[in-house]
Amino acid sequence: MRHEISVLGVYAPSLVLCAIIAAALWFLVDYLMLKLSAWQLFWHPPLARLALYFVLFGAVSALYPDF
Amino acid sequence: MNEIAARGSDISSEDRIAGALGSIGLDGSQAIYAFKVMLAGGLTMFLAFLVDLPYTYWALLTLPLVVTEQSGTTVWRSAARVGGTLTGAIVALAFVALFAQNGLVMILCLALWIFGCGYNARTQTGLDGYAYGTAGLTALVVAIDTGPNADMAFSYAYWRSTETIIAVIASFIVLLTIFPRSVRNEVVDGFETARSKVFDLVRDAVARDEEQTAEARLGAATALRGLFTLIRAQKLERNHLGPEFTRVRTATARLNALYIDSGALSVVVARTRGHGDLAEDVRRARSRFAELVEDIPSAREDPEAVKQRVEELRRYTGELERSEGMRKAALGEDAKTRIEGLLVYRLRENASALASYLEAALAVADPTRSALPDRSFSTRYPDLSAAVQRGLRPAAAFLAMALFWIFSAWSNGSILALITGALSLLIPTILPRAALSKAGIKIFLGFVSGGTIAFMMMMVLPSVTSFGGFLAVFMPVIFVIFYLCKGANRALAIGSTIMIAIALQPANDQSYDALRLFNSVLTLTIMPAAFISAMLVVLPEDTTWLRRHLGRAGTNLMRSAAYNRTENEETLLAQAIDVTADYGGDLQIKEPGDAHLVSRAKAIAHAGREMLTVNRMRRTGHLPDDISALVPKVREAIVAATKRRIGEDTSGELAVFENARRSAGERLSGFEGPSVERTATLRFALAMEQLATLVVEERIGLMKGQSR
Repeated sequence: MRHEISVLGVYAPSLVLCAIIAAALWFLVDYLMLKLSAWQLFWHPPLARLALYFVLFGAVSALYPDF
Repeated sequence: MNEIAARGSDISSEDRIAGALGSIGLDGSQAIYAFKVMLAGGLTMFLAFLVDLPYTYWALLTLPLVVTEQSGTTVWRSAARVGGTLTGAIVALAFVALFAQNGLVMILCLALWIFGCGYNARTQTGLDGYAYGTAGLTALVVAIDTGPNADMAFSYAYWRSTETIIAVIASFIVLLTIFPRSVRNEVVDGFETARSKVFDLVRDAVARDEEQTAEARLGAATALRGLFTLIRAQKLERNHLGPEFTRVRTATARLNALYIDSGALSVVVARTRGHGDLAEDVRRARSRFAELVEDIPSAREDPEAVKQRVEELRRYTGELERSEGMRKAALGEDAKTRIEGLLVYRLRENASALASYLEAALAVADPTRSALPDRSFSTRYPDLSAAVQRGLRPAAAFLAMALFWIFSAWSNGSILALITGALSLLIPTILPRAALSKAGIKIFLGFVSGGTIAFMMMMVLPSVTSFGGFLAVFMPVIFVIFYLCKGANRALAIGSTIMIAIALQPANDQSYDALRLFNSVLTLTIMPAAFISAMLVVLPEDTTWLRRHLGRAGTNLMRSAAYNRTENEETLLAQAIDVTADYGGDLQIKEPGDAHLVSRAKAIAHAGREMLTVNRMRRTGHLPDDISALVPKVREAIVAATKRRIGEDTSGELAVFENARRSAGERLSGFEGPSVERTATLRFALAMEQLATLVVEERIGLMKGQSR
């Protein structure tokens, strides 16, 4: 994975891009979980929602292509 | 809503901890809040150091502005902050690209942008205005930091956005996961308060011969106005999806309608006093409604009883419609008969509004019930003159400070211009008007205390060698600031944190500059004076200003409704409530003139509603042509009446209403047209009698010296 990407000449950590992609995925999964009232199954729903974000962020970072 | 109340009533672990802290003499909930802000501050610094931000102070500046007790409000402010930052950064890039080489033009453009942001912020409800405030602030920061070095503009814009987002992420992680406090309880309490105040108004209107007091009206309007903001904040928490928010919104809109209806009933009841004893059937109708509004059960606790009450109310309205009572208002020859007819009509309208509200409350309490129809409506009264002034204040303050900076060539003048412009734009979007005049002083005190704290930290921190050590010094400071500065003293916390952030500028290399601290203290202590001048000298929103704007708002609402320019009925009612609570809330309600303005806003909402109904019947072709032709004169007459001074001759306007009512009455006797036309004609006659009553009772006119 490249550590930095160039945004119009300014170098930004590529993790920023991963974070944005993870956020988009999080909104999608969170919407489905809310629709199914699935968050209520967890002991601490806000913590579970935060954990979901970290899981998605980790997954996106791991799958990020090395170009 | 009541279902929400049930869920919110469980004792949480946060309550238990707050109770335990309370037992040792601490303010438990405030200590938990300060603890969360402290953790968010620590996390912000950790993330800022982790990605090696060149300026950590910007992230630290964001923190006090986005952390709030309730999750929904934090999300709302954070979203506004991020959106505003990105917009401001883009605008600054455009300004730099166009005017980087011409400082004066750049400053003029920035002043114009601040004006636009202030203008738009005033037209928004809740925290949406904060987004505009942040957009103005970010554009200022990026453009001023860049100066003539145009090639650095994108870097500054990128850094500012990153620093803001880091503080927002840290706030989210801490405040939304550790003892998250939902707005839910505030919504439940707010709804309960509004419901109880409006029900009291209805009971007072029907059962007592005395009219509602301006204080009671203002109390109900304030409770209703706050509800829409709370509902929005709760929606942003995304705790669940579904139709609940729409249902609560519908219930609130129907409570608005009941609030306005109760005022109209109160006026008519007061008018009947001068006409001796009521006819037996009218007296019975009034007593029956008084019984129906007593002891209304909660939709959650006893839905069956509420359903039964709705059926009773519907039966009651049906009986009144079938009776001759309402026709008396249109056909009655003497004033007593007509006012009795009008009373029956108002009783019917109040009963119908109450039944509609109870149905909406049932739909909230029981999600399995089908949702009621909901229409979108705007809750903010568009006071364009106030918006222009809101934009002018920060723009003028920024221009004055920027010119001082340029002509004095003082190196720190840029910071002064920036902070003055930014705070006089931002603070009014997050603090209530009453707190603004004191906010400058509190920010000043915050700067002084923040400067002292920063000085002490500067002595200790150079000997700290690890990040853990840094946090051990930094986090308790944040805890103490946010524990001590609660409620109206939040401006003090903002001032302290700003000073610590700017003067200390924590960085990875642990280099601190005492001279910078001294310069920052010196520069920023001038800012409160500029801020107070911007708030209190440039078109101040004082009592005279509030009276003028409340008076004009009433007249404008009437004109819009009369000429059918209002979006819909819900908009008219919500905007009347908005001006009542927004302007009336800061007036001296004990003063007869101020009390009259508050009552006038309610009367105008009612008169406007009648005009919207008349306009609708005209538009749909339900009114017979000869009656429809009278509407333009009625419009002119009601708008003219709202501009009249109390005591002035209103015989011209009254003649228009009397002529219109009489024409409708003549049309009604022996009516042989379609039933829809008959109903519309009766409704028109009732509206004319109602408008005449409001004018005769001097409810919609202005007192001497009040602005039209």
